[in-house]
Amino acid sequence: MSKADIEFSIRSDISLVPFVGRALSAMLAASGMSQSRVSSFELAVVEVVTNSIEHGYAYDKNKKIDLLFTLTTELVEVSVHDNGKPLPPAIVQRYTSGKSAIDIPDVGNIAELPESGWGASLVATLCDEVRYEHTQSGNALTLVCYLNENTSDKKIG
Amino acid sequence: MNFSTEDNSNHTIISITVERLDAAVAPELKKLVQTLVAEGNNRILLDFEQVLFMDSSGLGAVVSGLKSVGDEGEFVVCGLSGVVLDLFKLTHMDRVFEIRSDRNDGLQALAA
Repeated sequence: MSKADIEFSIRSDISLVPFVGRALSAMLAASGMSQSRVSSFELAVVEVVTNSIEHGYAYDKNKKIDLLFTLTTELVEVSVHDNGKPLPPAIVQRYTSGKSAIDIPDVGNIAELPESGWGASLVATLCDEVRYEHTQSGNALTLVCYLNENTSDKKIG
Repeated sequence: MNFSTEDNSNHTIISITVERLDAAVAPELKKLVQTLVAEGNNRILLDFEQVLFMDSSGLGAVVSGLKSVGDEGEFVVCGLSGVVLDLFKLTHMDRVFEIRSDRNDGLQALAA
């Protein structure tokens, strides 16, 4: 997979993120991937793009995010590239930790429930593989999901 | 507007009128609930029937709503399906929220 099937860029505007999700869903519509699996992978990709805008670019709308979509008979791969600041090691660890446990909230302590911070752990849980690379040209976070649930050792829902 | 509200004698129904509850929409929901609570409406039913997609920013706004109504209030969600319901389960928020199947069921929960 040296060349992506589809490449496009968006401005780092949070209102443009839905276009990424819809493009991914359209690409996967005829792939044989189940709708629930498509939706889960779309969620993972949206989380990464949103994090690039919020944390990498601190909501600066004049930056750019490049997206590379590759579809094979076995898997779909999406690479998200930005030129924002490097991801903190702790976040990289959460992105790449595999199907890690998402903290169980203290049901009896509503006031202390988290309102954010799920993104990286969700991505790790929803994808079959996550790779992170930081180079001079910026951050590249690559997400992989097998089309067939049985090919994966992960299952959500 | 991405939401519509229906005030009744002892509760308020918020319908999410967009298909995607994401980072672009979440701040508006958070502010709406805070405004309603400030006006004395702390028994809220949040109807997801039209929502096909939600990300963690959207979920954060929903959690904020639950926290806003406080111990004296009630916050019920209904109409969850697909990846929206999956997200509640993955983050264990299905253990925290009163989740009902549809609006009628949600209203019964508020009346109980």
